Parts: sequence; structure tokens; C-alpha cells
Amino acid sequence: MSLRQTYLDPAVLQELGSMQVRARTLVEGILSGMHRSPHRGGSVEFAEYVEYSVGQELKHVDWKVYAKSDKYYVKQYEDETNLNAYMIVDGSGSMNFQSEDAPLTKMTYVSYVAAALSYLFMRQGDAVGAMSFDASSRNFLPASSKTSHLDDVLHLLDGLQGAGETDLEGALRTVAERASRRSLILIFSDLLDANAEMMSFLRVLRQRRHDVVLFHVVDRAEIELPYEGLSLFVGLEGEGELLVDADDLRERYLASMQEHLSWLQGAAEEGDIGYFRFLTDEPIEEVCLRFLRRQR
Amino acid sequence: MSFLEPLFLLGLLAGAVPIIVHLINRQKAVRRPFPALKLLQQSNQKIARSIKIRQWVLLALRVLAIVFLAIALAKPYVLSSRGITAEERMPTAVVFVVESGATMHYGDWWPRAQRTLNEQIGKLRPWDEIALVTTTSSDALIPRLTTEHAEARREIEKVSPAHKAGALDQGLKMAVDILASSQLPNQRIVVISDFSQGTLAENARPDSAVGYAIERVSVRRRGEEQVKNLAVVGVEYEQEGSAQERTWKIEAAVRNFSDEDAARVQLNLRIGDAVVATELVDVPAGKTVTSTFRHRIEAVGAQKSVVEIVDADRYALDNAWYFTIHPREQVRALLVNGEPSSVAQNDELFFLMRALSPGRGVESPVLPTVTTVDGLDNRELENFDVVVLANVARLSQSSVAKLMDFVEGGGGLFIGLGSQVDPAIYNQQLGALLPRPLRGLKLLAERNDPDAPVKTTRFGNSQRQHPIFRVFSLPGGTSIQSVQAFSYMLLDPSPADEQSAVLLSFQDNAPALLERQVGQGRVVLLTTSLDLDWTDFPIRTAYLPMMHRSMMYLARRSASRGLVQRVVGQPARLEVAGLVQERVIVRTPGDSEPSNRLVLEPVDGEVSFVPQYVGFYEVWADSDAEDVQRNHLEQLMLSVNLDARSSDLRLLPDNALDAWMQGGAGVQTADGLVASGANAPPAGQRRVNLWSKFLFLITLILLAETILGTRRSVLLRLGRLVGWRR
Repeated sequence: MSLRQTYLDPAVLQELGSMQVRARTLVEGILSGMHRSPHRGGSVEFAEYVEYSVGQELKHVDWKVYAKSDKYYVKQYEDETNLNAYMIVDGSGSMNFQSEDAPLTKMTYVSYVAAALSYLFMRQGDAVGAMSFDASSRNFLPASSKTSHLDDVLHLLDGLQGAGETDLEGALRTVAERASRRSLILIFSDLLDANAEMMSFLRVLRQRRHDVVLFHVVDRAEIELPYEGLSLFVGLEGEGELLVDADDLRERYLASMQEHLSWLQGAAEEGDIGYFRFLTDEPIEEVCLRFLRRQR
Repeated sequence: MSFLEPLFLLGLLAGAVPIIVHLINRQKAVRRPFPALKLLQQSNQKIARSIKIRQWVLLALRVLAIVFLAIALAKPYVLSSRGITAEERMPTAVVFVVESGATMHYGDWWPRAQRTLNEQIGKLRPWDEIALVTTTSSDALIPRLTTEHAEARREIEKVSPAHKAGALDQGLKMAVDILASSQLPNQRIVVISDFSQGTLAENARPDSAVGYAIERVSVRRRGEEQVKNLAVVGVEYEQEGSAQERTWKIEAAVRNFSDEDAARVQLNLRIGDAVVATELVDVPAGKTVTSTFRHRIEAVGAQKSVVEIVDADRYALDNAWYFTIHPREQVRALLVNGEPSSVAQNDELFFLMRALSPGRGVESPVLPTVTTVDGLDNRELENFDVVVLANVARLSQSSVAKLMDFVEGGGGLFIGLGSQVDPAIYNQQLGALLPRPLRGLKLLAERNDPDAPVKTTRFGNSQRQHPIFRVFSLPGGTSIQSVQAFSYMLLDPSPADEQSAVLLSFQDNAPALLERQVGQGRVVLLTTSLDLDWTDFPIRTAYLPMMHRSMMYLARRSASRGLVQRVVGQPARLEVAGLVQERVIVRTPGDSEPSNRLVLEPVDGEVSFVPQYVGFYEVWADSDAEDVQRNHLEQLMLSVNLDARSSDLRLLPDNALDAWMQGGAGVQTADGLVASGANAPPAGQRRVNLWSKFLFLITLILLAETILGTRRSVLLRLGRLVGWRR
């Protein structure tokens, strides 16, 4: 079965070679599920799909989509704008978590997503910048549309360690300082430390006409707490330890987690911030497609 | 709370196991890196308190379950005076063993025993079965288990305590035998007793290995665990000096069975109905003191004698010692010498005199008086018991008449023959007295005949059981078969009448010794001589005993005497051969009721019986009518006393009955009288087992532990499952 004929399983993806190969494989898969732009290069940029309505030209109907979804969609295009996209990737210790049933760590997963999107943007001629952050260090790559720049971006993503504490606010501050013109800022994080202050930072970015999208990666174990028996839970960012029977805490924990997720989603909507939440056992293309379909 | 198996309480240490397991589990907790630890910590802060409480409760439940298990295995019980256990609701077979031995004569112990039995029966349920045995009878009063409780109440009212010692082991043996036939689920023995040392024989052991629950109910009041008791435990007496002096030395032994010294104890010696001497003695605790009386007895015949303690204690039975003094009464014999001689050894009575009166310094039971044929006329025969005719040729008419009266009135006549005897004259004069008429002399050999040993005959068969010959049948008895006879008197072959009997024959079957009953008296005929003329009998060892026995027999003296000190319950044997015709009547002590009279038939010249009471036993021959004093066999009068064992009123040790009990199970309750035994519960209380309740608690604890310990996820899943099914 060809990889392009199906969504890529993250586990299969893991078996592939370098980050570049993976990114390209991903994007090919993604693109095979979408109508390729008939306008290669130049000034025409695919804008979005809109549902077909009477009066529209039939030639713009995407028949492949129709074949898949049984609905008529019409591609709309807009002129190319000079887009700067920044991949802000959380490199803290908590991102290095991989539960027993999960195929990838959260870090690896978001790296793939970020790499695929970077590849996609670069392919479209957009400039892509990247930054990884944790409490101690931040690697920043300014946005560039040069083909060779992709290698730098992918190298940064490939080299993430997943250690230390999260400092999302500090990272956002850096981006705000560095991103001089209107940009698309994609933030990849598990958002465990997200708070009102962080959201207000995001709103500030939004007010500066940046497009901000949160890619919230979640391991399934975090929302189900599937453990049994007495467990010694160890924090990944130096929060210490907790000896407890998971059974005793599960109900309360799941409620807290749900509350946190709801608050995040609500706060994002309220601040007109894009918000995508996905699990590490979901197909990566699906995540990318969800982003691409909703991106305005 | 007490425990039957306290060793299991060591299991309480196992209560630490859950704590140790908890600590080990804590170390064994799975280490899990987790990113959202802050959320976990926040959640934990909110419910930490309830989790901790739950964990503590779980730990406590586990510890409690183990602790309760250890306690349950140790079989805990409490003593309670209320309620009954499920076991006790089941029908019970109860055998009451009531002490009825001599010790129950102490104070009011016997009425208390009767009352206690009634109370114990009152505590039973109508469906409980009972049997009743006493310790002095080999037959149970109620030998089969029955629900007729009233029968036991009636039976015990009829019983009086015996004078002999009770045998508690025998009672228990009977009880065990009765219970062995019972099918009821609960079985026990209730012993109502004073539990004195004397009630249980030393080293008494049960026959059966089966043990039963034994409930001991004492009739002693509180404070009666140690009781005062002085007892006369024996009397020794002997005549001092010659028979004529009649002074008796009587030594009485008095024992103090209590822990306190007794000072100035008054001892009375009573002979007949009169107190003849008094002594004061000090008896230290636990010691025996001997007190000596000396008294001169003028009266003739057996004397009822008692040494008694005055105002001693509440146990009257052993305060007196009964004994019978028999002043030696000699048989007065009148020897009629038919052939006196100035040469001593030729005298007809030379040998007989020496046999009946062996010499100075020796007290002979026979007092011989010698007279001639002529002298017989002048003698008052009433002063003699026996008349001996030794080779008397002829008697005067008056002498014959006196002899006839004498014999018919109860006197004894011994006839020895010799060369002067003319059969015709004898048959004519003494025909009414002779066992058989004389026929003529049979001369076998002259004394100096060298062939005499071949020609003579010897004494042959005798009536072994006859009082005269009984002594020859006993071990060590002298043989009479060695006696030779050179001549003897032939008798008419046919018996003259039914009153005569051959007691001894020669080897040629001719009669040697015969007897005849004439009126109230007896006549014995020796068909050979009393000296060496016709026989060598006088120089044989059998001569002296046979002549003595003949005199005693003719004088109606018994060979045996009531000198042996007897105790109740031990068989007494009396030799009555020659004294009675058909039966012996024994008047037992106590109230002069017809029931206190034993009528016994002699077997082989003896009667035996078992004395049941302390006191004097008078023996009568054939009839005990007071007007025939001759029938009163005074010399056979018995005195019977208490077994010294019965005087020991000290308490039995607590473990005395353990051998009969079930696995050494605890002593059961007393009814408020005296609780005896180290493990005995206080009065009126009983044991209630608690182990079943502990097991129930353990079950509840394990259930609670299961619910609390089950994971919430499992419970939720179960809940969902139930909800889904609905």
C-alpha cells in the first residue's frame, strides 16, 4: 500500500530516514489528499475551499474532494501575499513524554507537524522561521523563503532535546520582538503551564496583526490517566514526586484536566486565536489537514 | 475475658504484618514519569484527606482482622451469670453423683446435699435427662437417664448417709457408664459432695478414657474449707496379770485432723452404760496422742466398751471408738477319776490333767476340778460346764440322775472308756446319754506285744468341719492319724437315734469319737481310754488340742472371738459351728427396728456379713428372744468402727477429678456454696464462649476491607455494568 494512498501512521513515519525525508513524505501525503493548485508559482495562492452554491462555475469544483467527501467544494484563490510563518516549538521536559501506548513523544510528534508545515510553506514560497524554547535556552531562526533555509529549520526541529522547564511567555516575548511584519505564528506545545498571562500575551500578538495558532499536543495518558495501583509520579520539569494510587485521583484529575482544556479552548476563541488540539496517536496528516482546511 | 488456648495470642504479633506490607508496597510503588504532575498534585491536595482516612481505615481493618483471628484461635470466653449459649439450649444428659459416705454426717452437710440436688435439678430444662448415683451403693438410685426429675427428688429423700467411706471414683465410674449410653448432644456429671480427702481413694483412676464435663458442687459453706475434727482412731486393750485379777489396760489413740491444736480434750471410757474413767489430753494439730486407761471389770461376759471424746466437734461419728472386752471365762470341768492311782503316771487322769492345765503361769481356757466316783454325788454340777467320766466303772443312781439333769439342762458330758467299763452296766445306767449302746471290748494287741504295730489300728477319718476337728484341717494343724489304739469298745452297729453322729473313726471303720445331743446338752464318747491303757493317744501331739476343743465344744464356747477391730464396710466372718442349729441372728447397731436385724445361715460352720454401721453387733443363735439368754453368743459380739479415712475432712486437691474430665476442661460452677479449684469461676457464673463472635466480626471486617480496598475504577465499571444492564 502506498504511503500516499493513506494517512501516514506516525509509527511508520518514525521508520523513515531524515527529517527532510519525513517532511517531504508527509507533505506529499497531504497534498495528495488536496487539490493541487492549478496556478503554479506566480501570484495566485490557494485561499480556501467553499461549499458549492448555485451560480458558481462548475470547473472550479474539486472532484477529488467530492469523491472523498461526497460534497461539492469549490477552490478559491487569493493573490499571494508575502507570508512569514514562525514555528514556535516547546522544547521543555514535559514534551519528552511518551506513554506506553503512544507511538511518539509529544516532542517528536510536533516536530513532524512543524516540519511538514514548514515544508509546505516553503514549497509555496513563503518565508518560514522557527524557534524552540525552554526555560534555559531559545534557538531562533529568522524567517526566510530560501530553499536552503528549510534545512536549517528541519535541523532545528530535529535537534530538540526535550528538557528543562517551559517558558512560553519568554518565547512569545522573543517572537514579538523579532517578528517585525505581520506573520503567521504557529505555537506547538502541550500548554500545561498555560495561564491567563500567557493568553494575554497571545492576544497582544494578535492585536499586532499576527495570525496566532496554538497546536496543543496531548498524550492520551494525560487525558485518561490509565494507571493502576500505587504509583510514584515524577514530574518531568522538576515538580518533584507524588506517591499515590492513581485510582484515588483519577476522577478528580480528569475533571481538572477537562477544566484546563475547556479554559484553553475558550480563551483561544475569545482571543481569536487558532486552536488545534490533537493526540499523539492521531495521524499527523490529519492534523495538518485540519490546520490547512481551517486556515483562512 | 479469659482464654482456653492463650498460646495462640502470640498470633497478635502478626497484626504488624499489614503495616510491614504497607511499608514494603510503598517502596515497591511503580515509578512513572508524568508531565501533568502539577494537575495531579492539585487534585491530590483536594482529596488527600479522604484518601488518607480511607488508607488508615483499610490498614486498621487489616490489622484488626489478624488480631481478631489470633484472639478467636485463643478461644476467648467470659464468665457471665446471664443467658445461655446455643450449646446449652440443646438437651443435656446429667448424672448426679451425690456423696453419701460417712463424712456427710458432719454438721448439716447431708441436708445441704439433698437441698443442693433439688436446686440443681430445678435449674434443668424439662427436656434434660438425669440419673442419680450415690458413692456408697454399687447400684444407682436412678440407673437410666430419664426426664422424670421428680423421681430423683423422691429418691434422695429416702437416702441416709452411710457410715462407711464414700467411693467417689465408683460413683464417677457409674456415671460414666450411664452417660456412655446417652445420645444427647450435651453430657455432664454433677458431683455434689464435701470433697473430703476420705471420699476418693488414693490413686483412683477412671476405667474409661472418655472424659466428661464435671461440675463440682460443694456442700461446704464458705469458711468450712478447713474444719475441726478430732477422732478416736483406735483402741488397744489387754488384760493385765492373771484371769483372776480382771484388770484391763485400755489405750486409746486420738488424732487431730485439723490445723489447730486441741487442748484438754476430755476422753471418757464407758463400760456398759456407765462412764468409768475420764482423761484429759492435749492433741497437737495433725498428731496422734495415746491415752491409757486402767479399769477393773468385775462383771462377767462380754462388755460393751466405748472410748469417746466429749464435745469434740460437729462430726460425731468418729468421736467414739467401740470395742468389746471379753473377760476370759474358763471352762469349768469336773473330771471324775475312775481309776485313781498313787503312782502318778498310772492315774487315769494323769495325762488329761496335764493337757487341760498345762502348768503354772500358763492361762488355760479350762479350769479342771478332779473328783472321785463317790465324790460326784457331793458335787453341785451347776458349778461346772463339763463333766468328764474317765474309766468310771459304775455310778450311783443319784449321780446318774444328776448327770441326766445336767446334760439335759445344757451341760456337756465327756465319756472316756477303759478296762473298768462294763458295757452292760453302762448301757443300763447311761443308755439315755450314750450316743450308741456299748457292745464289748475289742482287744487288738497287748501293750507289750512285739507284733503290736501290725495288730493295732489308728485314728482314721474325721469330720473335718466339726468344731473339734476344724483346727486339724487348718494349715499347720496337727495330724491325728498317727494315733494307735490297742483296744477299743465296740458299739452296736445301728444308730441309737438320730441325735448321735460319728466324729472320728478308726482305720477299720469302727467309731472312735461320737457325739449325741441330749436335751440342751451334748455328750461325747471316746471309745478308747484317756490314758495309755488302750492307746498311745495321750502322748501324741493331737491329744491336747483335741481335748481342749472337746471341752470348749461341750461347754458351748466359741473358738473365735470378736477381738479383731473391724471397720465398717469390711466383711466380718464368724465361726459358729457347734453354737447354732440353723441360723445366726445379728442385731446391728442403731435404732432397734426389725430392719436392724440380720438373719444368716451358716455355711461350713461360718457366717459372714458386711457391717454397715459403727457400734456393737450382738450375735444370737437361732432365736434372739430376750428370754432365752443362752442363745445370746456374747463372745461373738462385734464392735465396728469408722474407717480412719472417713475422719480426714481436709479438702481434696483441685486436680483430683481431672482424670475423669474432658481434656482437663475447667471446673464448672458451684451453686454459691464453695468455689473450689484454681480455674473455677466465681459463684453463680458460667462460661460464655466468644470465639464465634470474633469470627463474625472478622467476616464483617473482611467484607468492609473488600469494599474499601476495591479500586474505584472497578467499582465504577461494576456500577456502569449494572446501569447498562438496567
